[in-house]
Amino acid sequence: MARISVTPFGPQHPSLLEPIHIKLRLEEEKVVGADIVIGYNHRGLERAMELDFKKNIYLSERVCGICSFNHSTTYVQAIEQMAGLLVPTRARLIRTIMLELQRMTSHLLTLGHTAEVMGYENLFMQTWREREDVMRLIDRIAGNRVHYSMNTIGGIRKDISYDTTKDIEGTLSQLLPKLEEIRRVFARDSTFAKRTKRVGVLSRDAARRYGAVGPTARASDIPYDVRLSSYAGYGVEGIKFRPIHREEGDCYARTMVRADELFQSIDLIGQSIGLLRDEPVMVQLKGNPQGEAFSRVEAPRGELFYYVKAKGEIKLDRVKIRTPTFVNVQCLAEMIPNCQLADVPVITVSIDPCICCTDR
Amino acid sequence: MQPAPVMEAPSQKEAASATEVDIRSKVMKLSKAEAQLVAITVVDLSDGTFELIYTFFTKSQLVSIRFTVSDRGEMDSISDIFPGATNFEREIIDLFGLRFKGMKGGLLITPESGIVAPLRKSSSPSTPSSRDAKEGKDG
Amino acid sequence: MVLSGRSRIKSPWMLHFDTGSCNGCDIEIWALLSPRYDIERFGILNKANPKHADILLVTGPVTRKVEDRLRLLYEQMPEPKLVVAVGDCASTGAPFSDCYNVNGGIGRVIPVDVFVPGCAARPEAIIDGVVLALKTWKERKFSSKTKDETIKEPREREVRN
Repeated sequence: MARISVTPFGPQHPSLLEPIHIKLRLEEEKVVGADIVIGYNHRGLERAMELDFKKNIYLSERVCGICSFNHSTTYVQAIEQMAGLLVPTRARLIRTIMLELQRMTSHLLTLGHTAEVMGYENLFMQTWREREDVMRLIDRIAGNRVHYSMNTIGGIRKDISYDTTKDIEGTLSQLLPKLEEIRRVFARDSTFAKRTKRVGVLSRDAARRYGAVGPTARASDIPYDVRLSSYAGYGVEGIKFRPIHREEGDCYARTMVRADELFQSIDLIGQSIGLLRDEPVMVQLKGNPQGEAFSRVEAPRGELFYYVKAKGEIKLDRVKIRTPTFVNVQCLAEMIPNCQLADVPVITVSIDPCICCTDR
Repeated sequence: MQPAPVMEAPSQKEAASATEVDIRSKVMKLSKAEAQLVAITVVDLSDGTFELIYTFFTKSQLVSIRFTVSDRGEMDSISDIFPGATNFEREIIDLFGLRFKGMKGGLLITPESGIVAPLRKSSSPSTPSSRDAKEGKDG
Repeated sequence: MVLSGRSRIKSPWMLHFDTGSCNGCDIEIWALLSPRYDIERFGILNKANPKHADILLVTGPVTRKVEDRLRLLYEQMPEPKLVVAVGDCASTGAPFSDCYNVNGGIGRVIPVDVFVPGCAARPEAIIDGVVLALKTWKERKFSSKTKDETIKEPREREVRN
């Protein structure tokens, strides 16, 4: 009978950006079980967010640095829903532009990270080089590369000028052929295919029962995309898109869904810029919010869900944050057993874990 | 965005303890209808009771099951029907101190840290500034 | 300065650890490896093994679960070593300084050489901080310090942003 050994993976590891601990039970090179330990990143933000509903815009951004604008958008949407505020169309479209730009930076990050854990350093460097162009664009629009601070209750704080929209269109059109080249490498490279096809398979039923969201679910034949519920600018007349989904449910499918979503984002940004009209970008909130609201946004990793309950004062009664990785990380318990040890980093990165979001 | 339509069974709002059979049969029905679990939220109602909100996504809309429980007794776990509920239930055990049958806490908070049910309204967990003041340090 | 001293300054290897931050600063540290900022031109490589590392780059406000790991990593690194606290939360714990599960800045756990402020700290500021830390090595000329001395007194030097 082969012996079972336990190998720890994390919380400090070169292929991990964030502290997570995975105890792998190995039978020689085959993984027979995995225990995932999280909590290293738990700061206690749900409690801190009960103190002041206006300061929460600042705090909700800092739940996660990669999807920070998504968090602040979800939060202000909940307050706007409670207060019955009608956000101007221009603000909704600018929110869409920034959300899609953030989706591009996040997907490029994950694609580079996927290449890096396979040892494909050249592709990692090239992907992150293209990512820097998008970061420069965001820096120009918002004034900061991470944590844009553009959202406020009732709209956005900063308007964008005509020159900025021309810069966005110009940068993205220059970026398009380079991204197509990167996508071609991911789609056709034989080593990449050998390491990702039929590796870490998540079936459709398992994805549904685990509650998987985002590209993890869309690669397992569940076309679940919260953008179809028409929040922010996605419901504006003239915006058209369809969720991208695949059926195989392996690491290759998840990577290709993300790679294809890059082009969908560029298209959505182009559509949003075309629909911008001259109008104010903010409506004022009067008084304190009261009631409760559910708010959902499609973050790069999946559905981000906020529940906010207020009692008509500065303090909030309850803020519940459900992040996409909180549910997706449970799918690892289904995908990792029966794979080889060398596949564990590839599978972990393919669900795009964001442990700061999970732990809050 | 549409607010979530609420699906309530009769006479559940004033229940002092969880009606466990009801939640499992409702969740089983939803699972057969190919629903997906979105979240399990707990709200401390400040009078010793807690409101539980199970949110599902089914047939292109959000559906919520709500009921109120006290912190006595154990609630039924739905993690055999929806394995994705495991993290939610363990988080509730950590942050609110409620109990689910067969589930252990320790997801986010270690027992050694001395923090117990920090999200309850009645608890006031220590923060770095309060720990500093206790030790007589400055900032 | 001996040969080992010169090579330490010309090719310091870094160890990156996240103690509970929002990952904004961690992504910016990884962006240093990308072609645009290219920290490898300073001879800096991102290495996983604490016994190979010279510089410890830490982000995050040190949650309670991770505190012992941070101390262990610091103790495993051989002297001389430098610690750079990257970002506002590593420096002072802000904006999480009143959250229940954090310690509030890495200066409460290990001694720090350079603080790099910013939320998230820009890659240019992080490079500035690392170069400033290397300069302190040149000035100190590797005076020997016992392990006890370094852990008791936090040494703090601020970097301009």
